[in-house]
Amino acid sequence: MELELTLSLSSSSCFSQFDLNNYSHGNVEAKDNVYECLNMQPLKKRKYCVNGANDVESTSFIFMNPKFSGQETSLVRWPPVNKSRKKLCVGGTKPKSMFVKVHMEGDGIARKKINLNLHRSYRTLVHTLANMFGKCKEDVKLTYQDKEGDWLLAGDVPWGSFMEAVKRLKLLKNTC
Amino acid sequence: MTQSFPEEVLEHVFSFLTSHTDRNAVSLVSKSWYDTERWCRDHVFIGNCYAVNPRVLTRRFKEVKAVELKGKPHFADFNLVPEGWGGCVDPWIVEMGRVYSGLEEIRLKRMEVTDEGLEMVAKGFGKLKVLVLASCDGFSTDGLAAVAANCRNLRVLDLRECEVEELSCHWLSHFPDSFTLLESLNIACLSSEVSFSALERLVSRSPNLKTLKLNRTVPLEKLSTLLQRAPQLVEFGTGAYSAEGLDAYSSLAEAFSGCKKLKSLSGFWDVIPAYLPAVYSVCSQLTSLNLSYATTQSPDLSKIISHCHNLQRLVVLDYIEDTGLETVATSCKDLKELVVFPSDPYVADANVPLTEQGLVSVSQGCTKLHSVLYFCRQMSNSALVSISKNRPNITCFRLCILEPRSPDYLTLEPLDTGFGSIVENCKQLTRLSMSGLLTDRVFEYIGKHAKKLDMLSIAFAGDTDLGLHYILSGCDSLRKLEIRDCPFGDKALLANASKLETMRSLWMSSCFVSFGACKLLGQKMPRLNVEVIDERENLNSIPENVPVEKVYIYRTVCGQRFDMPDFVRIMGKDKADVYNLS
Repeated sequence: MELELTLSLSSSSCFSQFDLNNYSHGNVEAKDNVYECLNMQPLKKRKYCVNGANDVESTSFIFMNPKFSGQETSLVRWPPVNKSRKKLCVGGTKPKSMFVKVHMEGDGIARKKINLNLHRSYRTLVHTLANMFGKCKEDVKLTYQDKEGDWLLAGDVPWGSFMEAVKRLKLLKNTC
Repeated sequence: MTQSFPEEVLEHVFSFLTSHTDRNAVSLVSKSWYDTERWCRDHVFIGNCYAVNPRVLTRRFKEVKAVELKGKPHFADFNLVPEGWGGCVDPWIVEMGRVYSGLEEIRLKRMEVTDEGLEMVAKGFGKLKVLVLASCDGFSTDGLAAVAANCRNLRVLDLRECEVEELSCHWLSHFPDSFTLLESLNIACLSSEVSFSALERLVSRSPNLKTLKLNRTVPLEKLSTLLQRAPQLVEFGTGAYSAEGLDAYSSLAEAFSGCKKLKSLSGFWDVIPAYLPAVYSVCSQLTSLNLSYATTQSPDLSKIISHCHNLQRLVVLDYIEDTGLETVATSCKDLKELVVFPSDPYVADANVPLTEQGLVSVSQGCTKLHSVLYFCRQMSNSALVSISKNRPNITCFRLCILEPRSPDYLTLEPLDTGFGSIVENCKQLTRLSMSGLLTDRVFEYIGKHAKKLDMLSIAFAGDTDLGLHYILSGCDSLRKLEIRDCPFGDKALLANASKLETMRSLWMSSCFVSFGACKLLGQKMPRLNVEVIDERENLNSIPENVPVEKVYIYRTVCGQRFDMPDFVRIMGKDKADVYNLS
């Protein structure tokens, strides 16, 4: 079971694709590396329709390739400055708050607000929201309305993209 | 091999070895040396708390006086590790409390510390002298109150860069009136007020106090009172350095002039330049100056720095500008470490005249410079080459060009040759962080030349797996590698699997490492934990060829851990793989 200390892994044929002797410097593009070697499929953005239908549409390409310049995932948590330094930013000495309205399905017209800037992950957000409405996190599903007005199921896109897109939140009862 | 020396002689020889790397080396010579060494090691350093477990520690070392533990990976400092990941110190405190009743020093970095944990420390270690919590979180002022109330022998309480839940301003009052041993207090991380009267009384009854780092809320007007009570201070951190009017100036200047032993100054939030000259009387004594919270302009910064002829360490914002760094180059001939932070990191074009030239000037003027952390907006290969030729003695070089993938601004080429020159000329380089536009070529240079490199940080760099392969196959001394947003995938990782066991850890986030590769690596390498950190929903239905969000790989003798949250999976291990070390 020892790994040979060569460039390629020993034994079965499924490892031959990991032989770096097949590479030569400069001939391989990142694109080849990604698609051919990893057999990647683009991930699909799931759309959640407010009326209850659950359509899966391949509407956008969520994929962590830094050559796809600029986006969503690339500049999250960059540059590498720690929290105490971030607070000092010229843009304001207090961390900015980002309040969005959140509604619980079945709660009539009651609306609450939550400061999204206090959260860094879906987990803590769902946990906090569930508590806010006196529910268990297993009993709720979180959806959000993005800039285009679409209602989407939260959790499919990286947190940074979610933060940029989210306008409103809605908690649905988990009927599963 | 028969024992040539009696154990007592060996122990005596070992007592001269203070570095943990020497101790570790000595313990590998033979079984008898291992046994002798373990009975007499009293300072233990654990660089990754999950590489071992508390039981392994207490079984091996019997009379430990000082423990240092590190938890989360370094990128946790930049919020890349989700909350709840792990690194809780409580199980360690429980086990050490059981065995090391004589424990005197606890140093923790990036660990989760709870109030219950602090209470256990306070009540379980009566001899505790030193408590240093660096970049820790999870505790509140209640925990600190328990420490203050119970640690009768405490000399050092240092909360550098911690996140503390501040429930009360009165925790300092829990130090008994009879408690007079304090030598070092660092509360700079606290954002709420602490009771000033309690602070003043504590300082007044602590004749051995050498280090006092206040938090932002302590007003400037109160500084002279504190300094008068503690003129023996060696390290002092101010609070907010501003006041209405100038009434407080002369008493402050006088108070500073009374501090004949002062060597280090920090703090300086909200600086009003008119008050800066109050410290001039101590500037020539200073070896360390941290102005990185001083949002004041270059002329004021240059003036104070020009008085600091003995400065060895300078931390400052980019407000210092190239001109200010020229002042550093001419005034601070003993400078060893330079840190320049960005004042406005999130704005694309902040118009601060700090460029690569500032760093080049310092590299020319300061012949003892060996450690650099520099944030800037432009860089050139020629500047990097100059820096490397000026200062081949550099051991730590961390450059952050704010815009990812920025090329050489003069030639628009990648910065490969510049960084290549750094690793080729700076032969003692142990730490490197890179930024800017970088191809696989720079990694070829690093693999070829950076033989002493211990820690490497890479972001938005490289073209193919070859880049990662060059690093893993070439850098003989590499122990810590952290990578984000690079097109490195399965091939290089799997081809260099055995290298990973020689390292403390590897972090890769937003790269192309697939679930399948992580699983394979975990299966093939029982002494590695391959932690996939992924917050997406429905992880079980994601195909194996999809890249993980983050993977953290580290060597361990303990098999997988069992305190993981749901977004962390250790790949490729069954429950049956857990080692039973007995």
